[in-house]
Amino acid sequence: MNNKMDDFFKKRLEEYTPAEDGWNVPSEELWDKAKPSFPKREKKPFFMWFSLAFLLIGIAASTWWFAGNEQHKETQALISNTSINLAEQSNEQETTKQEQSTKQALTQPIVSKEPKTPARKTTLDKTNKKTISKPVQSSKTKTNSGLTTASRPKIKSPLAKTKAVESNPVQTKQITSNINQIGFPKVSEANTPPTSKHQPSITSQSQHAAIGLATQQLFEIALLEPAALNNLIHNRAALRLAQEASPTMHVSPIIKPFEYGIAYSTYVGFKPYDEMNPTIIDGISSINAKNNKQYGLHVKTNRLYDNGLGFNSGLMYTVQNMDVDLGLAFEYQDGSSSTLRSSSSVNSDSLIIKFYDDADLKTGDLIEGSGTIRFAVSSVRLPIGLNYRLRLKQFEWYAGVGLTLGVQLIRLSEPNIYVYNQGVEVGAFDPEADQSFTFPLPEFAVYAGTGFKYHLNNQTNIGISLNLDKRLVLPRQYLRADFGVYKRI
Amino acid sequence: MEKIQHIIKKAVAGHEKEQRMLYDEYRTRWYMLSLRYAKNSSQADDIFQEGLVQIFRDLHQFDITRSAFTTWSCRVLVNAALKYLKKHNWVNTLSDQEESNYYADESETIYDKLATKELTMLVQQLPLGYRIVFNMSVIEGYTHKEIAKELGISEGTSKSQLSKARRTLKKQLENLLITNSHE
Repeated sequence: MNNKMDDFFKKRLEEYTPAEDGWNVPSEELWDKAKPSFPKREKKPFFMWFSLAFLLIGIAASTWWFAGNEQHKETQALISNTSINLAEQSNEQETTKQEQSTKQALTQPIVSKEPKTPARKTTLDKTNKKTISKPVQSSKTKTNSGLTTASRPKIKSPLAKTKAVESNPVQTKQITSNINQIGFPKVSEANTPPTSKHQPSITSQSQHAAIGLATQQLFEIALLEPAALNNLIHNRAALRLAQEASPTMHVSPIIKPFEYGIAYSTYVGFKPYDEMNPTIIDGISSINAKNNKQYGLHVKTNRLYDNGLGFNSGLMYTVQNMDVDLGLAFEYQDGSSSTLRSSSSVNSDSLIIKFYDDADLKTGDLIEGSGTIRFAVSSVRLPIGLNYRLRLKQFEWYAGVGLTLGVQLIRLSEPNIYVYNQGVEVGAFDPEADQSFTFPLPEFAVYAGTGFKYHLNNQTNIGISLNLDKRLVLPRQYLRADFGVYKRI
Repeated sequence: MEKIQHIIKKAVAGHEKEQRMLYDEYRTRWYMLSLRYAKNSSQADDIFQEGLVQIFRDLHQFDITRSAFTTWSCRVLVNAALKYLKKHNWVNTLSDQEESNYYADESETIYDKLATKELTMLVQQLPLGYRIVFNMSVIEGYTHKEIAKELGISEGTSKSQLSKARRTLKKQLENLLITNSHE
C-alpha cells in the first residue's frame, strides 16, 4: 500500500511540465538575483598585454614626438597664441603717416626713413618682405620724445610722462618679426646681444614676434587631473605634487559593475593644489608660473554597463590665479611704444610697452624685458566620453575617448614689466593705460587615453593613465600622464 | 549527452548563453523541488535562489561519468534546501512531530483526481520533519541511512517520520477529496 502511494506521489510530483498558470515556474527575478553569483567568463589577458603595450608605445612615441619636435611645434603653437606687436601707438595723424609709409613701402624698395639708423637697413622686396641688414655702426640717437630717463620715477610708475610721449608723436612704421627667425633668449641671456642667426626676417606689415606667452599651456597644465608626474616625460614642467580632496557622493554605489545591471556614480570634488614655479617653456623664452592656485568644482558621472562599457559626462568649473614671470626679447624698431598682444582669434587686446623718451635707442637694438603678469582664469568645461573597463580581480584596465566643450574667461591684470637695452631700463608697461583686459576663449578638445588601476580594496585604488589631448580651437596636442591614489568616501 | 556536456562546459567557463540554456532546461524541475521542501512559495523562492547559486558555483565539480546532471543538480538543491531549513531552526522539530491520525482510502480512482499542484500543496502542508523525510525518501530516493546522515538523526527516526508522513498525507488526501466531492 505504501509503495503504491509513494509511486503515485513520485509519479505526479515529477511531472515537470511548466503549468499554464506558472505556479511551478520560478519568476525571472530569481534568475536575475542569482546571476551575479554565477561563474564569470574569464577575459583573455590579451587585452591587458595589449593595453600595456599601447601604454609603452604611447610613452615612447610621445617622448620622441616632444623631444624631436618640441621646439618647432611649440613655436608654431605659440605663434598662433601670442605675439608681440611692435607697432607704434600714436594718434590719427600717425596712423595716416603710417598708411602713407606703408603704401610707399609697397611700391618701392626703401631704406628706413629714419636718418638716425644708418647701421641697419630695412628693405621691402616685391613680396612685401622686409629684410634688415646687419648694423655696421652702433651709434645711438635719442628719439624725439620729450621724456628723459632722469625725469622718470625709478619704481613702478616709470611712464608717468606718457602724455609727453603722446604730445610728441613720432613717425610710424610697422615692422614684423617672426619668432622662427628671431628666436628669443632666456632671461638669463637677456644681456647677450643677438647673434647673426637671430637676425629678424621681416615678413609682413603685421608683425609677430612671439614671446612664448603660452597661456593655454599654462592653463592646461594647471587643469590636469590630480597627478604627480605631469609632463615629466618631456621635461617641460617640473615634477609637481598634487592632491585632490574629493568628498565623494555616490548616487548609488558601484556594485560589481561587470556583473549586474547599471551602476551610476557621481562625485563632487574640491581640488586645490599648488604649483611651484614650473618652467613651462624652455629654450624659446622664459615663462615661469608661480603662485599658481586652482580651485574647482567637478561633478562627474559614469554609467557603467555590465558589458564593461561606460558613458561618462561631467561639469567642471575652475578658477585659477596665476602669476607669470615673463621674459621677452625683440628688436627695437624706431618708435616710442610697442604692443604686447594676444593674437588669438578671439582676442585682440593689447598690453602696451612705452619707451622712455630719453631712451637712447635706434632700430635694431635688442630690447629685453622681464616682469610679471597675473592671469585669472575661470573656466567651465563639459567633458563627455565613452570608456571601457576590464576588471580582473584587483586589476582594472580602462580606455576611453571623448570630447570636451568649454569656455575660459581669461583676465590679464597687473602687468609689471620693464624693458631694457644693454642693461639700461628703456621702457615699461604703461601704468596709466588700462592694461587689464578680459577675453573669452572657447574650448573644444578631443581626448583618448588608457590606464590601469589596482584596487587595494573597494574604496581605494592606485591608478596610472596616459592621455592624449588635442585642442581644436587653438590647435595643439599634449600628453598627460597621471598617477594617483584614489579613494572613494 | 554530449550536448549537455558541452553546455555545462560552456556554463562553467562563464558563458551566459549556456548558463541560461541550462537554467531554462531545468528550472521547472528545480523549482518544483524547492516547492516541495518549502512551506510556501515565498520560502520556495528562497530555497530555489540559494540552490541555483550553489548549482552554478559547483558546476565545475559535476562529473558526468558518475551521475546524471539531473541527479547531481537535484542533490545540490536538496542540500541547499536542507541548509536553508536548518538555518531556520527546523532541527528540533524533527524528533517530536505530532502523529497525524488521518487515514484514507488509497484507491487509485480518487488519487487520479488530484493534480500535481494540489499534491505539492499537500506535501507543503506536512509538518517540516515529515516533509523533508518524505521528499528525500520517496521523491529523491535517498535511503534511510543517507537521510539519517544528512539530517543528523537515527535511521529509526527517519523511518518513523516517513511513516507518519504517509499517514498524514493519506488523511489529507481524504479530506481533500471529501471537500472536492461536496463542491
